[in-house]
Amino acid sequence: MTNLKNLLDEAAGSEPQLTDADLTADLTRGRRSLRRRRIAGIATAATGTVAAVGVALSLAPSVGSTDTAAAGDGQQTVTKTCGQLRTDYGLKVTESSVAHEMAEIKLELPGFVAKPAVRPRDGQTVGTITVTNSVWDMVTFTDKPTFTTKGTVQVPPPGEHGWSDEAWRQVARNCLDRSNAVASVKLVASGKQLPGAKLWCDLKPAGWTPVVRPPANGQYRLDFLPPGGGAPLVVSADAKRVNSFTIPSAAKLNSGTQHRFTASCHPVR
Amino acid sequence: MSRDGEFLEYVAAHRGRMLRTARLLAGGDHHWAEDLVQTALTKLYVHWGKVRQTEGVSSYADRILINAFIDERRRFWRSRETSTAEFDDPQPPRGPDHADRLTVLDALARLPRRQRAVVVLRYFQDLDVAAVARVMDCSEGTVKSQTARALTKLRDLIDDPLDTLERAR
Repeated sequence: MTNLKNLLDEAAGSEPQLTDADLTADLTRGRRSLRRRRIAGIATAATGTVAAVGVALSLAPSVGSTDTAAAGDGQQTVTKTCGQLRTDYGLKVTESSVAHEMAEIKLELPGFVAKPAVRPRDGQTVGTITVTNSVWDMVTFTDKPTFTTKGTVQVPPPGEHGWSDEAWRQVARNCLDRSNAVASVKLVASGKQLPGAKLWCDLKPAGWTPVVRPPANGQYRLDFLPPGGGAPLVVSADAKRVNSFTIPSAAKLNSGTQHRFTASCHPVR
Repeated sequence: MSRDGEFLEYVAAHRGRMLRTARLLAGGDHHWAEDLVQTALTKLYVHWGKVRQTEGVSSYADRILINAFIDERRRFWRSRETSTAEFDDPQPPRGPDHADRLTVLDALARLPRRQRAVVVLRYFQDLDVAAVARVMDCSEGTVKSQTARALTKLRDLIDDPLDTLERAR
């Protein structure tokens, strides 16, 4: 192969004389190519950014839409009607026939582990729950002195982390705030016992603070204040709301007096 | 030393070697050889910031040169030839035996490009099989087989140079 190497070495010819012009030309070509490459890179990045922003904008919900909200477990979903919410969360209408003289009112959420309804303790008299009409627009507890009534309208916890605030808002907004729709959702309660008012209620977003307002016209108002401030979720004395119920206040109970606290949920607007 | 200074120093030291390699790859086409070298040096400059921090710049430059040579056939257009008003053909490289050089160059030109590259890298640049495989980004077995085929064909062509040249013309 030495012969081949010699042949190749001869065929390649001699090294040409390198001039400054050659070097300068090589350098100029390299710089030009590098500059073009950088410009192309910037253009590509800009195009990619524009495309990404365009795709993001096309996929994002329209700004200012009040119809977009999370509907459960903190996940963003589109606005749902009450019917969809009932389907998604498995809300069931509690039969009014079982409401009379029952110690607990239950809202069933299939798919979730139900908490046992809170029952009155021994030695206590169960308050009488009176359903004033067939659509459960009011629940009245009739109490006697020394009675501690736990009127419990219960909803099982919806999943491990509870419902998101937005899910609650959607339920309240779409299912509770319209008299023709409220019949489909019987709220709530089970966990919060308010001082001065034996109210067990979960009709609130997780983390919200229940506040019982002074009675007005014989009715109490229950507000739920959102964490960190903001407009309260008002549970007010509105007999037309389906989830109205009477809250007996132990401190204010008088023998033979019927304390009636009507509460209902209003959406936060 | 600055980036440009280092690059110029490298070019001054290695451009001649690259041009001689390119002449063999181009089968004696001096313009094409110059194009290949310019292309390789331009690409080398673009990546110089990365290349200069590693050893084996020459190997990298060889690889660019070989790739430029092999990849050119993949283009559906050939842009390296342009018409000029004046005939500007440089003097062919001087050598001891012009007839032998033509014969070898003509024989090289008849080899497929990868075989030509293997022959040039192994027997002109004295790279071993592993180094050639790295430069050409292929297996050592491929280098060996390409080398064997190339040598067989070269023997046939160079042993009868007159007949070959006659047929070529």
